[in-house]
Amino acid sequence: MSSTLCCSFAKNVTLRSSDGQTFEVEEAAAQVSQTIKRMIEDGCTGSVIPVPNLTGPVLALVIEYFKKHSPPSDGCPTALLEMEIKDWDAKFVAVDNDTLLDLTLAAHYLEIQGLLDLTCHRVADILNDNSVEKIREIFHIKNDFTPEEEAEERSKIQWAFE
Amino acid sequence: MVLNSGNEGTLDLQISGAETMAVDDGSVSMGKKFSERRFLRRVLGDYGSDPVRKLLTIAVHAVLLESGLIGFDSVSGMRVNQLHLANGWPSNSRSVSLWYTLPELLGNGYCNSGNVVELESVVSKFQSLGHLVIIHGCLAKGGSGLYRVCLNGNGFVPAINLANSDEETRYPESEILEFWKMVKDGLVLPLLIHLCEKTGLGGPPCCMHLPPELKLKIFESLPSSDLVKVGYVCSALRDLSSDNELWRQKFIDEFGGALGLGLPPCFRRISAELKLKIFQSLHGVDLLSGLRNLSSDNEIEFWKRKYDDKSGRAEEWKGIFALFWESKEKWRRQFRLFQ
Repeated sequence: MSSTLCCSFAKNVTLRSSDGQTFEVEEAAAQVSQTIKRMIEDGCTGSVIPVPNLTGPVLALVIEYFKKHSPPSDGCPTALLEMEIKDWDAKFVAVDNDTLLDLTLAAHYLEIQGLLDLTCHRVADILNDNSVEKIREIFHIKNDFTPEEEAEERSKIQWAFE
Repeated sequence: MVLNSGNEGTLDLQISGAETMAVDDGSVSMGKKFSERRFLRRVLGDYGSDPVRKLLTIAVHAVLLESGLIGFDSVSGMRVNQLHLANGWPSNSRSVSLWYTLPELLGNGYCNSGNVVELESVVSKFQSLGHLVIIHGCLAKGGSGLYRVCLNGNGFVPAINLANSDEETRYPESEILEFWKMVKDGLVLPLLIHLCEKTGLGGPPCCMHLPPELKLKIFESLPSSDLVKVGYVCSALRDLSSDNELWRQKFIDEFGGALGLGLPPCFRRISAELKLKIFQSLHGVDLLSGLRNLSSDNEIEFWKRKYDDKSGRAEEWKGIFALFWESKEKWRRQFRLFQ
């Protein structure tokens, strides 16, 4: 828990979630987020940086991502490191749908391009792997087509399934 | 998680009397695995050595609580802070039912008037069959589907026991994650969404709540046939997934590089004359003059115009894509020897 305190010289910032939890994280790591980077550049570092769109548990996850993706202090990332991060990323988004959508929105709001790509691909994979009926079930979407419309739609898209 | 907003006071999950689940003081490394683990450990408490079904039942109970639901007694309508399975699941019984609701619903006076029937809630029925525990869930007053999760005690119980022990290094992260995902996606979230829908409360996140630009970004990485499939889910997704710019990009990805003629890349080797012959036979038009010296971009324009003429309206790229796709498939079937 206190690992960030002992290697003390890196500059830290404090982030506060919508429900008032605060998290301390290295400034360099937090700048993975373009939104936070801009806030730091505008001089918000002295006090706590509010992140009102994220709840504590989601912000905690995002900070884990920051730490893994903060620029390495000693030069270029190696191929091995990149592979390790790729594995880590895949595990990071293997979460329940609820958390996945929270993370997608968080990445969008905080402008974390890598995380946004990652989560969007994961959602796309879910859409990819499932039937229309299953997609409705997974994401709880009401089928609002009338039977006639449904038949018409199906005939229009037949080409994609031949 | 969304459910927490504005109701922190009522949402603190009272597990063991005074102990609350208020999540943290702000330590830096509190990550997902810690929060799930914390939940399990708090909720499991002293039940750690109990038989399979009790352990699994309580672990599922933990997932329900983590999602913002609270347990209550179906007879008295009172909130149940601590699961008393010793009473709730007698040793000679094979099943037990537990009731859950949202704190917002329990707090609005229904239970005080004794009118428990009015309380919207979800029922989870736990059934034990050997080493399997099957959980059925539905809305107590009907109006939802029946959701079912089947848990294998042999698989999960050792992991849950480990998570409940003090051994930091052996925390079975992937097993706990799998358990959590199974229960949450298969049982808890669907029930929660039905409950919120029925009572008009804001529900948990759903992909329909993502802003349109994010949905489009997701669609960008979908293959065209899956994009079409998504458009068949509901009318809002149909409209969004028919986005013109999106299909223009799909068209260029799929056909733009491959001669612009809706032919797979292997057809590059075929002479121009043969190509034209094929297209004459497919469309019954003499394309010879039009196609002779077309660059890829111009070909696309050409096809767009052709499609517009044909349909009599400025159709979107989705339609053009379909037209190309069809000729490609037709071609594929007619000239198998080139594949």
